[in-house]
Amino acid sequence: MDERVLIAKSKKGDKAAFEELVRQFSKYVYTTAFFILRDTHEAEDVSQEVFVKVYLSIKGFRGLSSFKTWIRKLTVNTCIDKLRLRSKTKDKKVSLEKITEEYEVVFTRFDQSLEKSFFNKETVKEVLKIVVSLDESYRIPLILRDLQDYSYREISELTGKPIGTVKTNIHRARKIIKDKLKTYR
Amino acid sequence: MNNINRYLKIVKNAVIQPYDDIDKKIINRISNISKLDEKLLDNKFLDYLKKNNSRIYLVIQKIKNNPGSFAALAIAGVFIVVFIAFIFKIFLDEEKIGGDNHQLSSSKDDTQ
Repeated sequence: MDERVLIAKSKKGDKAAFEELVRQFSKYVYTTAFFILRDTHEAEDVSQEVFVKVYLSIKGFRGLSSFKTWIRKLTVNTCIDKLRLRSKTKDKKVSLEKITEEYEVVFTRFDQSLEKSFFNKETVKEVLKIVVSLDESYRIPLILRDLQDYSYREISELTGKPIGTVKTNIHRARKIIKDKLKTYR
Repeated sequence: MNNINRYLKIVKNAVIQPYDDIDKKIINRISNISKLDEKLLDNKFLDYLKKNNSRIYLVIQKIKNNPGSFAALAIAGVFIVVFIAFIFKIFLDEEKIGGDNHQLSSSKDDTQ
């Protein structure tokens, strides 16, 4: 069913429609949270928290931006709050075991012609692994910029770092990925 | 670096498959919302919701995020307005000259 119809029905209190929205967006929210937090349990908590917030406030959603944009920003904000809390409680680093734990990656879209000419899924998965293993100061700006389409200004505001630093860190992150891929091959 | 950007574009479409049935967990949580959950709608969230429901705020954000393209658009707009005004002025001047010539020729006819 169309997203707009589901939202309209959810606003009227149709729980089945909201459940359908959950099914459509839960993996997206979970993945975004996992990339930022690198912890499956925290990613689950954030996913639940985000959907509870959405459920309680969907009547106030006017739809000026797309639902995906709304939920994406909500997820990122919630994750950044978790990271801040983590740094306050000095639990800055998630153990490497958690990062390297196996997770299954599926592709929502994968261009077959691209696959033949340039890429294979394994390489993309490897890129993903490298992204997830990056240090927080590189990983967060890179994810926000390249995977979530945030502007440099927005990233700067969210992370509290100057735009110049954000740009440098993103550039370095891309270079790290490039170098690590060379060794992988 | 170009290839990295292409890979990252594909990574964008990647989704992590959660081990547990996350949909079920979320739906369960929604079915059992407590007073405590309502605290999640704190001032920060309500502020976010309010801003997202403001067309002016969203437009300002768009401009702030793409200042270059908006500046280019504004400059192009000014150029178009100036160009139209210029064409309009030429048209008016020609009409005026045409009118003057007509007046001149008609006054000549009168004197003859």
